[in-house]
Amino acid sequence: MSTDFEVKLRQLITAVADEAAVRPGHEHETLNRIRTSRRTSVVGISVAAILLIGAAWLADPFSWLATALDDRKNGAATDTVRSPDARGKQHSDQAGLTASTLRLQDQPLALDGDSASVWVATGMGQLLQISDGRIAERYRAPVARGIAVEAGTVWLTGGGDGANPTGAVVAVDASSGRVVQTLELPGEAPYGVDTGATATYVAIHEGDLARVDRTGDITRVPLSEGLTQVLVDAGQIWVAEPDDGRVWRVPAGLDTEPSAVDLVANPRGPSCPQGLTSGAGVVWVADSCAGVVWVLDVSGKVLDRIDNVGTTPVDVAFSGRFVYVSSTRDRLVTQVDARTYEVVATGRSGRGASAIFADSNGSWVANLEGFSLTRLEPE
Amino acid sequence: MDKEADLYSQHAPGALRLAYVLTGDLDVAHDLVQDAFVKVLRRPGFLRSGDAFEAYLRTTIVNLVRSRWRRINIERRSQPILVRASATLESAVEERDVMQRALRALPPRQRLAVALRYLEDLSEQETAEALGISVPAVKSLVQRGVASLRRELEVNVEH
Repeated sequence: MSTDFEVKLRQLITAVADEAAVRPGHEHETLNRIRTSRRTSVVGISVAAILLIGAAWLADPFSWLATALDDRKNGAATDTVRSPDARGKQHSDQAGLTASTLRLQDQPLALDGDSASVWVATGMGQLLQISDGRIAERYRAPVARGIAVEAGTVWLTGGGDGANPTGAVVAVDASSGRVVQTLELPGEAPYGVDTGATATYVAIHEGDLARVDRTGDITRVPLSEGLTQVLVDAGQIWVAEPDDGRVWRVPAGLDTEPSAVDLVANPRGPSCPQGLTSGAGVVWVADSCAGVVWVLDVSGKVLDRIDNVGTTPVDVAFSGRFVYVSSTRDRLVTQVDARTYEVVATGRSGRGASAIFADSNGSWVANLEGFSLTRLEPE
Repeated sequence: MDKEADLYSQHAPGALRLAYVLTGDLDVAHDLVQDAFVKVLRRPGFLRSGDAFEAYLRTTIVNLVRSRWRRINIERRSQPILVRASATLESAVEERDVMQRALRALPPRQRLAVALRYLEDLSEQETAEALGISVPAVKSLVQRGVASLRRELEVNVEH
């Protein structure tokens, strides 16, 4: 139900929009441009097609025909999807990911796990533990936004919004469900959370990265407004800032100047780094605007870019050998070989695919709109 | 071209309103709407009608606006619009002017989220899909955007 202010807000925004009237001639100009661009496209496609066919023939007169016949013969299974790898090459032995669905009573907002369990924070404040096919509620909290599991403790972030003006970071003992540590942040919204050997790190949306050590002491370093996800890896903290297309890199002690990896100037256009993970000696960044996964080295240098990971990759997880990527709009889940950076399999998740967690046997995806989790495993 | 003309007549006014709220510049908004229609309609046989076309056009405009912001590296706080010359202003007009300035001062993603929720009346899920982000991220962007707009109205509008 809208508040009085929201009703007024709607009226005022509409009043602003009412100032915009289509100028005379705009329709004529637009329709002419459409007609002209179609003619140009037809010519351009014809020329490109001739050049491509000619190049393929010169490379190998018969291989393109054999590949086309193989594709028609192989087809695709209902729940598995085949797709080309990052460099556009078809894997003749590419497999799919088989999917199964676990229904929940609430929206899964955040997801993490360890070797034994998957932990889910839901929209109604449940903290669920999923293990051996069983679901158990371990804790009730304000709406959780971020979750991190480490050494028997589950860290949750939430609050700092209209429903709960005070942000909170809560540490819950995984076995008892008892709260062991609480950090309150009045007027601030803690977002992503991750843990290291001696401290837990929280990305505060208003602009600070906070370090909470085991005694509860807090150190903060200002970065930039709009911080979301955070990753602890090898003595460095990585923080995503999707608004400005940046990933911050901060030493774990917060004792030297942070630096930023600016992805905005990439050749794919707009950049919105969202999900972060590390593995195989590099950092993987899901970019929902560029539609790619970036591969960064420890100094923040962009080593590579992985395409064909869906239209809107929002999160990424490392399984020990593969990197899994969830894409929201097209529900695609992609399995990438962490050594070769090639896409080796794909599958389908539910509606509103967002957070993803990977273990040694596959991945779990949180489906916000579907009120479910999807479990995906290689065939 | 009759179908294209019909689609333009039906959807251009709404598209222009969205582009104007997002950019604050009528000329830029006209250019973006034209670019969006060309992108969507130049492929023969593309989806022609119904809610799907409107959604796709909206998404195209959102992406074009974001590309433009990235390209020209817009400042978070834009230049204020000219105050009208009239010595006395009706309260409603003054509030609208303040809203317009306040919208332009919002960070880009907050502005997008607020416009999609309150001008386009999209649900949180639809907004999340249009922006390629999660529903919690939409909630956060909208909450912050609304809070900023409320503050601007309370501070700048005389009662």
